[in-house]
Amino acid sequence: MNGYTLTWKSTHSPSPGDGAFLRPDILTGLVPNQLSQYPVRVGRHTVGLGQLFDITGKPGDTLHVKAMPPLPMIGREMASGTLVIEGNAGDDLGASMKGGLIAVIGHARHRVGGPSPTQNRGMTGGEIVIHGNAGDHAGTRMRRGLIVIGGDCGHAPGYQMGAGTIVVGQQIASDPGLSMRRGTILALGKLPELHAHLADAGLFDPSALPAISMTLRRANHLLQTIPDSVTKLQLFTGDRFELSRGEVIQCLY
Amino acid sequence: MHIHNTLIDDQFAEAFRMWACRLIVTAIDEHWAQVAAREATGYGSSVIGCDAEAGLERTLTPDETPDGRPGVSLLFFAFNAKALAKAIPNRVGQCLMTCPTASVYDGLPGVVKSDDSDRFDLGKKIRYFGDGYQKSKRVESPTGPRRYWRVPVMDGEFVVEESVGCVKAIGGGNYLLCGRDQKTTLDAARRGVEAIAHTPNIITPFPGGVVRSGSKVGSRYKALFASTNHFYCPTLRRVVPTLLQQDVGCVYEIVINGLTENAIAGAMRDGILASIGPDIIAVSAGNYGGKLGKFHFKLRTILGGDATA
Repeated sequence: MNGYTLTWKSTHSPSPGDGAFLRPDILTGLVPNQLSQYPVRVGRHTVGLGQLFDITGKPGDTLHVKAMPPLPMIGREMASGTLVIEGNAGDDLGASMKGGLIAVIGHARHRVGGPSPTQNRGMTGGEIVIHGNAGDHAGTRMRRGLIVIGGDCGHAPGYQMGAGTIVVGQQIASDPGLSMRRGTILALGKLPELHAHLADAGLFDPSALPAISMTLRRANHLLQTIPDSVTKLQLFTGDRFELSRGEVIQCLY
Repeated sequence: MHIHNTLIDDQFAEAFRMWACRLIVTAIDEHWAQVAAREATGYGSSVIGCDAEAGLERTLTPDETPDGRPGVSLLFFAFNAKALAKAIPNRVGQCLMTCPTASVYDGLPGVVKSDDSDRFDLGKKIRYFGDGYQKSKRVESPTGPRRYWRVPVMDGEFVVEESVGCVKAIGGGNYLLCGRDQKTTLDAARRGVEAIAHTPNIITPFPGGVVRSGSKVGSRYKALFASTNHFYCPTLRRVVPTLLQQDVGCVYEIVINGLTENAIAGAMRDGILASIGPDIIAVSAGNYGGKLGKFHFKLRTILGGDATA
């Protein structure tokens, strides 16, 4: 395999406060010895990464993480490389991410691709793929990039988003695109009841919106369960109380 | 050298440096993709009088296009990247943005600026037609992120890639079919063009791939820098020195532009072998004495099996 596999072994108490150290753009360039010594903040102390994980593999561009508890801030501000999480992710997955790919083979909690505590913007590039469900406010203030959620999504995905794309495979709890300015939310499952912030712009053939077809193909490339048999696209534009350049699209089959 | 009864003249095709770009054009179905191809490549036979030399490289299946629709691959050639940067946005704006359901993508997406390649703006210019309602979408791809502009039009959206790559290429590969009469020579020309119609990396930019008005450099009229190649005009054989063999009554030229020397040499070989027949007396090639172009495709070398001249 090209890169490292980190398998959680820690009985260390307390656990790391967050997963911001899991950045393939930094860690996969290190040799094994350096990686093992890489400092991770745990409570008041700093420990080597090797004390928390069994490390296998060699330098490359992929970081594979197994059996880790759902830490927040995994992949925070990462710029390149591939991070694969086998298990669940906590809050703020890929916060202010700039590039690369995060794949979660499990669920993620709130504010996927949102802003990190020191940033105003959410993710500005890259791709996040969640095979399971995601919590509330996915893609908050995101500025670019792609979030693909295979399962259900919590409240207000795309809250205040400025650009980028969110694809939701199943149900959205409520208020997609609340306060969005630009960007695209693609709903493959049924949309919840929409409020006045979105305006119905009508039904379209997929061929009328080739960029959406391209996005679906890309999402399907990342997550094989995205259906490609869309026959119509129902377009809603909004948020009408903001710039109204955003779009929420319901895929119909 | 003869192949069957056809003389292969000891001549070479003289080709010259050009720059090329490739556009992938998709549409709702194959019909509209072909309509788009015809429009975009029209008036694109020779840079003597056109802004670019253009042609259909091949048709594409939905699996081969970025948006999963039927498409075509088009090649455009001009003398330099700057000329392409002027010609292509004009052609896309007038011929493809207007064509129902058409979308335009870069066919050389990995190309970056270097000595041998360049990029020029396409969607970045055309987006302004959207009058402020245009949007962009950035999508990751194996060659890196690609940015598309979505211009609202009356049937939905016109999607066009932000910039297009162009590379150094070669224009003017050719061969001349010297036949007994017009009908049989034209049939032979058509056989040759059809044989190379789906060859990647080349186009035959002239009408049906065939030229009847082969040109020489210069003219007795000062305003013209090219004029009829009188050495190959059958009606002038008793008036001027001729390069035609006895019994030759018609000559057609197949001009081939390509991205590489090997692509042109291979297409010339395949085309000649498909063209020759009992009524083709000789196969020759057009050149300017070797003074104009740096690429020389020697017919006998090509047909002897070597890829390059």
